[in-house]
Amino acid sequence: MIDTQDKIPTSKVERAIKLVGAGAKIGGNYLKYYAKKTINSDTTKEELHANNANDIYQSLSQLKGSALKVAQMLSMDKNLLPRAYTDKFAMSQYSAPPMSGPLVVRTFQKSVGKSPFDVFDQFNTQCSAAASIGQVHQAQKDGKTLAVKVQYPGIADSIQSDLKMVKPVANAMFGLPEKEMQKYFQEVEEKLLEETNYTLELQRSQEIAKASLIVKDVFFPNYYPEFSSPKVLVMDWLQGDHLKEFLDKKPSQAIKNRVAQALWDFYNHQLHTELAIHADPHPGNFLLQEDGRVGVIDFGCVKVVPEDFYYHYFPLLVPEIRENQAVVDQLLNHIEIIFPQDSQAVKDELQVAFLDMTALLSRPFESEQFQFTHEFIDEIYAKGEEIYQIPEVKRPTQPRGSKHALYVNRTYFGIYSMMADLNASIETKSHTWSGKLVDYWKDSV
Amino acid sequence: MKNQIVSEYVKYCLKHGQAPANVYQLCEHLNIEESTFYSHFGSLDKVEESVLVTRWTSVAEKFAQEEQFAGYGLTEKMLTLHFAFIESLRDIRSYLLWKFKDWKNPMDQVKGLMALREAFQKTVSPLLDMASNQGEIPDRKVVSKLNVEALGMNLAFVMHFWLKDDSTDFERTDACIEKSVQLTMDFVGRNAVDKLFDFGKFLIQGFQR
Repeated sequence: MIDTQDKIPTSKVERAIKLVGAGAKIGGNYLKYYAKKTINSDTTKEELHANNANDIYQSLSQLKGSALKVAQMLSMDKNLLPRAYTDKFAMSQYSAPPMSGPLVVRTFQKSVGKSPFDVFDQFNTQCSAAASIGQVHQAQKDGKTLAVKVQYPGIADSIQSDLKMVKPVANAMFGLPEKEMQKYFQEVEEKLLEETNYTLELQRSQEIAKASLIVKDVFFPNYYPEFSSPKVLVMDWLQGDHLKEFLDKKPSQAIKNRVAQALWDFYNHQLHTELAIHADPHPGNFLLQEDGRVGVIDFGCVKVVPEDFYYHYFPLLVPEIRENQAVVDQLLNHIEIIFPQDSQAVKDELQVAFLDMTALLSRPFESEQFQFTHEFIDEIYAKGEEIYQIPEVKRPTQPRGSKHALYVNRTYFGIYSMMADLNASIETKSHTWSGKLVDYWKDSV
Repeated sequence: MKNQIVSEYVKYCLKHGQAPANVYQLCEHLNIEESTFYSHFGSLDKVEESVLVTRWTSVAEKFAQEEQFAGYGLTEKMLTLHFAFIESLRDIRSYLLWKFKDWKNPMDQVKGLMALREAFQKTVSPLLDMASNQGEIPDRKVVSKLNVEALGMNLAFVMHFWLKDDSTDFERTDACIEKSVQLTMDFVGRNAVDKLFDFGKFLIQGFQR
């Protein structure tokens, strides 16, 4: 008996366990699977933080798949979600059920036009890692180890149908009609659909990698356009650990600081020089080396920051601009935090809240060195909670905040969290961008 | 010649919007003698059956020779056959849409599918027996005979789904194959029912002691 059991391929056993998806709608999407898991698993309502969590939890439990991601994005921006919750969301994106070997081969063949066994010297049909909307397989060619990312079939269609579900729920969450939320949905939908286009990702990966070569300690894989297609992306296999495994190995603080500095410089370079950022700072997208260098992968989600938005949002990080009321008025109007028709009381309240938050977020830039700690992150959360108590924020009369801020905020939120996890002390003052922001506004006051 | 008759038959149906009424009409279209026809097929019905059967057999024969295929588990084999068969139908999709326009329920027994079912069973039965002998799937005696039926129904279901599918590159059909074959294989493979029987047997033996 034991003997025969042994002959069952382990992959089959594993898959049988994971095949909860069988009950799901046939031809439906893989994403729905993890959404349910996120909501129904060990997180109970009692564990959820603070008084406002309950109704949000209710609304979210009606959501599935990418709809959940939209809600998550919108909530993060508004600081609506308690910390325990956002951590869970971060996890949820990365646990779709795996594709079978034959489906991977099939998808590759259909998309690239050749069988992976013909293209590569070796191709492992067992998936090595899950990516957000596909999975990664290892292959060998000409003595090189490659990572082959293959997309789940039908993912773009299911994103679109998922998004239709999120809209009515938005009303419950934000107290705003879905029409008014449209601009945010549009932004997230656009980004999610972009992620399904690996040809675009390939092009961006190459561009950003090239533009960021000057950043110290950051490196990128080579990409192979000749084997890639809209659904298949081939790059070098990078060695390295994800943040958690990296920290488990107890690296020295000096090494951790080197990692943190590399990440920090990389993001500042992208934002302030290239005006386009890798907007998915999930720990899975960074491969940390023992010597403290950082490999960066997965450029599926890139936020191009419009110049106009750039010159109206980031000046608030510069203390001397923050003190100039005339400029501040102009900025807050432009980025849709305050509207001309608001009463003076609302204007004042929102301005104070927003500037307080900005001052807190820009604290790292104001000294030569900055020590990131979890206390600092908690302080940001606490401030968010405090701001949420303002009636105009809790139940807004109209949507506030530029749609461009969604991904920018999410990105910096992710980086700050990683900095805190690294307990990093880094050089932050050596930036050149505040000069150009001050110059931009010099004459208009 | 045999293949030519089959493909010209498909063309005839598409062009005229109806099947040839008799062998003569088809032969006229093919520009061959009626007597030549009979050395390949006994009747028009046999030609019609061949449209799907030849495609299935060529897919099955192709994989029978592949080393990669032999190394697969039963689920992977079934998935591969499904994917390849549906792919092989692409160039006659218009014909099939016309042919099966009245096929409403995937569980209905449709005339054109009977021969395909037989061909399918001929390929799949030995694969099931092999998996059973190697212990990959349990031998449930009489009940095991249902396995091949279940998988045949699965193929019909997938074909029906594909005929209705209008997604780009039939991506939804790919997902449908992936999910439905795995689900069916969960019934075919060792599952809770076997454990239940095993446990029942254990208890009974315990009482007898």
